Amino acid sequence: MGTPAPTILAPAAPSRPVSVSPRRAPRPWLLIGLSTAVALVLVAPLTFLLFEAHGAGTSTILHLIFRGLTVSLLWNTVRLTFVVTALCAVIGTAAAWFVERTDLPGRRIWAVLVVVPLAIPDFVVSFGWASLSTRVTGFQGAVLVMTLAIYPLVYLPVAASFRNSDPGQEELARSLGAGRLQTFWRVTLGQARVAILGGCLLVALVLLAEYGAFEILGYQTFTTEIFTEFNVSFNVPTASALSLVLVLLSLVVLSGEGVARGRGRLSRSGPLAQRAARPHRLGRARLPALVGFAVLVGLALGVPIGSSVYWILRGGHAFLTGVSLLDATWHTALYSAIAAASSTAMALPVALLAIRHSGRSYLLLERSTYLVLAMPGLVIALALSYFSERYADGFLYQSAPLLVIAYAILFFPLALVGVRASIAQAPVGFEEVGRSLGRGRFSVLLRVTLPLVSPGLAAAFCLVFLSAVTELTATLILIPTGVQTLSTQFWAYQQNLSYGQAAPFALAIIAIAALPSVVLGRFFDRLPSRGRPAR
Amino acid sequence: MSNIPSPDETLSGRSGGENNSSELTEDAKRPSGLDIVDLHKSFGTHPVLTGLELNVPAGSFTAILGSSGSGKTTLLRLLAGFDRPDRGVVKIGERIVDGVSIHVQPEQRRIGYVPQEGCLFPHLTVAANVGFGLSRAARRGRVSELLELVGLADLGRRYPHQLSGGQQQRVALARALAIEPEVVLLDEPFASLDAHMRASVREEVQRILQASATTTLLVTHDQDEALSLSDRVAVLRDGQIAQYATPQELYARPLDDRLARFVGEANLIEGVLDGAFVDTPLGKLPALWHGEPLPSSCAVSVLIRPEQIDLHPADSETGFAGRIVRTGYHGHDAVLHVQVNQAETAEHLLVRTLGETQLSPGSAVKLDVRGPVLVWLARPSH
Repeated sequence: MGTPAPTILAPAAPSRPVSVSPRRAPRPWLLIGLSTAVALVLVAPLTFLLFEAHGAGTSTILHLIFRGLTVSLLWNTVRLTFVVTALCAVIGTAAAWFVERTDLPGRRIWAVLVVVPLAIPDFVVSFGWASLSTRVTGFQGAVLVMTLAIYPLVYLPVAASFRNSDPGQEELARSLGAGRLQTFWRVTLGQARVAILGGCLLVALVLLAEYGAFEILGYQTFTTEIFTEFNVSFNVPTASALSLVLVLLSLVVLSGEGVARGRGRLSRSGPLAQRAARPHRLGRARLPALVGFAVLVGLALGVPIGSSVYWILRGGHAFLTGVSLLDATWHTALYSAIAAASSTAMALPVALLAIRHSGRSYLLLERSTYLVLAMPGLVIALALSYFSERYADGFLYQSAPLLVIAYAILFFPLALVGVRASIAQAPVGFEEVGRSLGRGRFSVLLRVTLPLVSPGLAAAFCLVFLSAVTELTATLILIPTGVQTLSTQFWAYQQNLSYGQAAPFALAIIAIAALPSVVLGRFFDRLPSRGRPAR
Repeated sequence: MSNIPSPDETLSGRSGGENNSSELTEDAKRPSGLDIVDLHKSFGTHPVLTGLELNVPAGSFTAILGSSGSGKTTLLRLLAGFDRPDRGVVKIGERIVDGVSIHVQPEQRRIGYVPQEGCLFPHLTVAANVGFGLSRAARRGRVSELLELVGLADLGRRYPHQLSGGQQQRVALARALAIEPEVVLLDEPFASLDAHMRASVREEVQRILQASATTTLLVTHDQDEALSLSDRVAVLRDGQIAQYATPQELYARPLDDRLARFVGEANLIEGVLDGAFVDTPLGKLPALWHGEPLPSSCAVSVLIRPEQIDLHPADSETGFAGRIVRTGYHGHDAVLHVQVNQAETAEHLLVRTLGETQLSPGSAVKLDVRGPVLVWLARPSH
């Protein structure tokens, strides 16, 4: 699973904070310096990639790009991206609407169950299906598996947008003469449009970056081909040429979302008063809806977990994997935790600069870090690995720090989302009031800023931690010699078709990843209610 | 910057004497006055305050009245020490807190700051908010005392989001008063409250501040608020104080026509001065003016407040004939727009009557003006 970011590009900027507008102080040189350094680290992989491509020679690269293989990879990648994104958009939006806006029985439970698949890595879902049936393979298999694995990326932002948007607008549309269906199309979906697009963007980026699931299903995309060229054939020029195309594709997706989003703004009329929406009554549609949810959850959650359990029971080799499971868990948790801490720390100066200080260039600096979204984990790993081996004299090559750096870069945008939200919770106004009450800077930092900011920082940490635990592709390339993480050990067993031994690792990943998901869910649920006057 | 009028320069002849700092020397007790001299602040190339001067006597309740964007909040932020002025001196009591190479940090100023919307710390209870600026030892008794003062004794354990807007404001005030500030700054504290709540919270705040005998500076764009709450009003305009006077003074004798329109409703008509009287289309009226005697037979602008005009039935002997164009009924009173028959201008006169009037648009009336009226030398017409 690449990027389970519930709100990464969703519309919901936290509600306008209670604050005195920030006024220009002298230029924050320290923050500017730190942020620039972070931005440089973030673009380093891209620079390395261009460097490699340049080293291979422009004509070689062009030759490698313009050939039949590229066309077939492009066709495979693009059609899969389109079909899965469309399916995720439909399923995610429909599920969100039923959960948030209707009287569907058991909505609270469904709301949790529908999201849990995010904690299951795509390659585990893929394994779950492929190990049960040889018919799940190729294009159709990839569509099935990926849709079930990542539709929550659409569900989460859209559900949040339904929760936060004003139901009064629907009533108003009805009073203006629009029918039920027209109201749904023009108002309900209109309100959710930005969220749907944001979710689709994430889905498309994950699809472009995915390796493990496709490898298991035998479906060839850019990522699988790059991996093979680099890790199996050691054909660096081809790998970098294809990486360039992949990055370009991701950039197209990123900018396409910006264009499609348009200039519309979602706003609520009036102040903070928000009436609870009166849920639509399903009536006769209730039973079909329930069946639909049961099937969805059964396929997305039941199959991967059930199949893992099945293989454990069948295999009976648990005692053989006992030691290495603990060991792998330890390394996974260690690397992920350090990476999460690093990403969060790196995001701090960038977010502080963008939120606390006004200035176009600061925002631009922040935006530039989102370029990382266009860099699949594989490409980042490949660039770092090749560069450290070839040009840095083997410095850090195949070492734990390099893996952690790769994680920190890869998941930086996720950390930034959380840190940004957390800093918005602590506007400067609070610090100023604290100081006017006779407390020094340090005391205010300790007693006001930190308590306000820490839930958000914890959320950022969890977001990165969760993603790093479920990461496979970059880990496979950068894993230090003689070390295994949960995902690499799972991968090794799975490739040997030792399903019984692979399954415990899959379940361990799910168990570890589920923990921070709970924390995250609570944080993002609490966000909108903070700091607004109750009545 | 000597064109800053102080109350004693105006017609009232009040013995103000604020500018010669007599009150600063006599002030030995806790509430301190505030003295601002030649204060400048600009943001980038945009000047906000340009040589502002203001003296707030100790223990007084002063309002700074200005339209939005006039620099009110900037002024408060400078006084609280959050921003640094480009130039100028700020004195709290005898202590210089801003001056040449002096900038006292906010936490050392002992200024109680109540921001817009209260800005209560969302992660702390009401009691912890109030006790924020107190030492652990001082907290116990003092917090409940303060909560008592603002009438929220039982709500100490609540969190800010569990309070109404008015209650949040009062907690913010208690929190500011906890540190026994020398001056309390209120930044549009009532702007975010519902209209019906605003009046009661205003009264409450006024009572609390009087009880605690602090010097208070209230910033607002609401003239009603400024006039009804404060002892003195300073109108902030173009980065300076345009007039500084008691509410009565400001309303009755604004220094120029812009101020007259800014504070309250105003009819401004043209007239010619004749000794102590002014000839206007509405008759010869006794005149008042600021400063030096004006030469006879010069052109002046004349201020007639809506309540200075009396209405009579159309068939009465005296008065100028007119016709009602529009009525605005407010319950306790009504404001009528009246077109005077012989006036050359199309401008309507505003006339305030008590609420029970039966007049409707189109009715003929007669009106006359109760003097004296305030006049200024007419400015060359635009």
